[in-house]
Amino acid sequence: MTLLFLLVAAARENYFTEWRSTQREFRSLLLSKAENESDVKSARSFNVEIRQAVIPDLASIDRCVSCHLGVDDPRMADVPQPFTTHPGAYLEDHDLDRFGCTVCHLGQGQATTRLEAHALSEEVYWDWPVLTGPWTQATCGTCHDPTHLTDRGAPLLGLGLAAFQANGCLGCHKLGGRGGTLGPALDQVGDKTSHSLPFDHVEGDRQVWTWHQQHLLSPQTVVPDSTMPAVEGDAKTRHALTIYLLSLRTTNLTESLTPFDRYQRRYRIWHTEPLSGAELYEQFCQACHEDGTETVFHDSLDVTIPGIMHPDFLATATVEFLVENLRLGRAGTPMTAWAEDSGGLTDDELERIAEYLLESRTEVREVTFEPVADPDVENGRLLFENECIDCHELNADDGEAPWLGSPGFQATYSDPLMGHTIKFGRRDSLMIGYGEEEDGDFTDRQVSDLVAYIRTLR
Amino acid sequence: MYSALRAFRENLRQLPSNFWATVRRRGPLKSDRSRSQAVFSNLFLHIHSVKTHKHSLKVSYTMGLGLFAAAFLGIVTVTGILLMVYYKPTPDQAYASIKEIHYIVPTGRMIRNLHRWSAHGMVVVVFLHMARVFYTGSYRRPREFNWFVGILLLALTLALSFTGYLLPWDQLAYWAITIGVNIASSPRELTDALGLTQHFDPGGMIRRLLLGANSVGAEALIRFHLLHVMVLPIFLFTLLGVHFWRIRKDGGLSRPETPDTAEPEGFFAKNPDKTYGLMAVVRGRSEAVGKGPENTVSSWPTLFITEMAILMAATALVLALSLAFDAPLKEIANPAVPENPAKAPWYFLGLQELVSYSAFMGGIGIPIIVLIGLILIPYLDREKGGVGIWFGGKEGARVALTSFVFSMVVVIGLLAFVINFGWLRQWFPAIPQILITFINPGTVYSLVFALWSLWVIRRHNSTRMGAIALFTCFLVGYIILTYVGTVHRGPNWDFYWSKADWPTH
Repeated sequence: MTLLFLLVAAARENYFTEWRSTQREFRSLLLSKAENESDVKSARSFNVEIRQAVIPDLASIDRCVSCHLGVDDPRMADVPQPFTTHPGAYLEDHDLDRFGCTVCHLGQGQATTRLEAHALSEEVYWDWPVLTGPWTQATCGTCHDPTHLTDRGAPLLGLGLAAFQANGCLGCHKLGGRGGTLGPALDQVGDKTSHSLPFDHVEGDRQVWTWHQQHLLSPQTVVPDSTMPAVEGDAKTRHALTIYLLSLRTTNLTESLTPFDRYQRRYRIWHTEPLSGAELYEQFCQACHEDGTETVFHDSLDVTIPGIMHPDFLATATVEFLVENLRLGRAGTPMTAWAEDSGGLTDDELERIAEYLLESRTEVREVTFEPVADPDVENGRLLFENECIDCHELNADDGEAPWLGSPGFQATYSDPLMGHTIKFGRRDSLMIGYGEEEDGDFTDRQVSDLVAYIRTLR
Repeated sequence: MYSALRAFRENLRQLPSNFWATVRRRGPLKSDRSRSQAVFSNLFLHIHSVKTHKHSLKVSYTMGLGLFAAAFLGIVTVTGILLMVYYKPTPDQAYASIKEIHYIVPTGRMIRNLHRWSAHGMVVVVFLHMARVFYTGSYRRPREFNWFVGILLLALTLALSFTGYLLPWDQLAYWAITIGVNIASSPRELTDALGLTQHFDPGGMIRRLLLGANSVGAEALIRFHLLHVMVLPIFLFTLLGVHFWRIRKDGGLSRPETPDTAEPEGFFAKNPDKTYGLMAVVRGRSEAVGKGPENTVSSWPTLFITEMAILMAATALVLALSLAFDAPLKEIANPAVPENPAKAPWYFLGLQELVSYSAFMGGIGIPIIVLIGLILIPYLDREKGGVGIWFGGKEGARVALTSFVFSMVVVIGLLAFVINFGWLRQWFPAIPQILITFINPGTVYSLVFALWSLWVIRRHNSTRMGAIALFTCFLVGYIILTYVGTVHRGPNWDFYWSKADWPTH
């Protein structure tokens, strides 16, 4: 019996292996394709043995070619998988012996069965399922600059990057140290495996790309307490954006394998080609502030977002005032502090955003309000509780109107500016001018009391 | 003058047979004498006595459990050495090297499967062997010390299996060891409760000693590897030598006293009217020849056939298991993605269940009480009768059965109660942890079992019966808790009837 079991084990290992029968099949394919003597000869000498690409620099051993035997044989273009010729010109730039397969296609290179090498099944315990078809473009972006590849074999990757910028993802997510702090940084989002993502509400295959596509379509369906807005665009946009997200992986490439544009991409992250104010606004501001002319309620963030291009706001604004506001942000609210050490924007860039905002200014008004010398804080409190507290609540997350205790607000609004704003309000909004005769009847003294009280808010 | 040449030619001709004769160093196996020589002139066999008692060969007595354990150990050693050829004990390479062993190393997959299955087999069989030795009363004088050695061997077996668990460096390994080490560092619960941790932290010491760091990493891997392939095996084989040697010195396997002195059946029909006496020792054939005065047979070949049969059976068993089930290998270890539930190796899941009540009691308190209890059994039960008989007779079997039923009811009852209604923490959320440390299902079990066995001692007026009661309760508790921990505990250590009911993700 012992002997019998040993025999079974030997037969299983030495004869009934999947790759052996695949290779035997390929040998007869070679024979049937043979056109001349030498073809027949080389087909006859085809040995059934494990074939592999060992790439020490990538720490990879890829046995994919044990079954995908026709990848570099142009005669196999019409033969079905696993023997098909590799499409496109990819292998010309990426010599199989230098790069192997898994550097682009992932999957489990060491494995010797189809199921385990592709690792698409949940029964196979491998973190990186094989990427096929357009999904492979994701790994192009891991080494290359996406903008270089739009007409060189990875069009969707470039499309994904464009969608990433157009949707203003950086308004909440950091990449390369630049971006908002509301969402998680995305630098290594492609390193996430299906085990580190919540699949409770995801339909279909348990694959990272399924997760991303559904999450982009409807973030709250996939992550119920998410505050992320749905991405604008069609299924193709989400497909492309997912490819771009999956490209954001860590790799440790040795010098010899690093493509020239990887350095360019690195360089560009740190030495950004100057973006115009409008481009910066699109990438960093627009996701929340939209076109900026009106105060809007943001559904998924559950917060009111001030219209930063409101004419009355811009009327009294200066570049310095706006830059300071951008630098400090509004701690305690979703508004990120965009200074270089937090949101990652340089003073130059902030200035360009400020200048861009001021481009739409229609009138300039001097701040003429002058607070009285001895304001009554207690009276200010009573006034505030009567008139203001319904919208400007005392806690950061409650109010429909901006939170006045925010350090950024306190630091950038001078007493006269605050008084001016209370007195004249914002036209066509809920913030009326309380010192104007038709709207309210606060005296300058009462406004001063209010300003003094608001100063005490934290 | 040519006689030397002739002799040389003759020597050449006889070389094969002479060489073989020096290897065998005995005559043909036709007499007891040459059979004895076959044993004692052979380094590898001479640990056996030349005669073996028939009782020791009875399948229903030993079930060959000790031999099975030894056979599994042999397989595990051979396959382990082969695995070491390819295994690389560093976090970067360990996982990939196991993958290579699985996918590409000739026979590697089988060898790894055999290693795993015989390791698990060894744990199971060592437990059963202990139960056999206990229930047949074989720990009695003069075998107390060998019982002690056996308990140490059990602990070493578990330690070997546990240290081997980390080596594949996959998620299963990583989190099982994390849990295992958390169990080992559970004195923290007590020192925390007493506010001593800052000054005296034995839990943290054990942890750092095992891991060489605060979490499982490269240092832990090299330590576990060293323990697994060198330190623990040295101890195990040394103690195993002692264990075997003690068997010889303690007079072979335990057996009932009576049959030895009885006449072999059918040998001599006694006439009640006559008296008998030994008149003379005679040469040549006599009625006693071939009948062994103490009901023994020659070890060669009977015992060795048995041993070979058990080795073959053990091999066949693990071969079949290895063909049918691959040793698991999950994703590569990822400290950022905890497994939920993270489970220790299965033989520690009973402990993990206890740990879920109280880390200190489950991880240290109760295991130490049990271990000390097991070691002390031969010194607390010093009765004489019933050695070599299962349960020492009818009364013992009855006590074992009632204890079995009693402990089943207690364990399952309390377990069901805890699962449905919770425990002190759920009822009084603000209760100090020290209370739960001392009053939890684990300590309740221990106390109930101890009282039960005291009651049995009183009722049957026998320490042996008390020991049987306690040991049965321990065994039942261990098996049921291990079973529940293995099968019915899911994410967050919640109870589920089957894995299909686990929440997704």
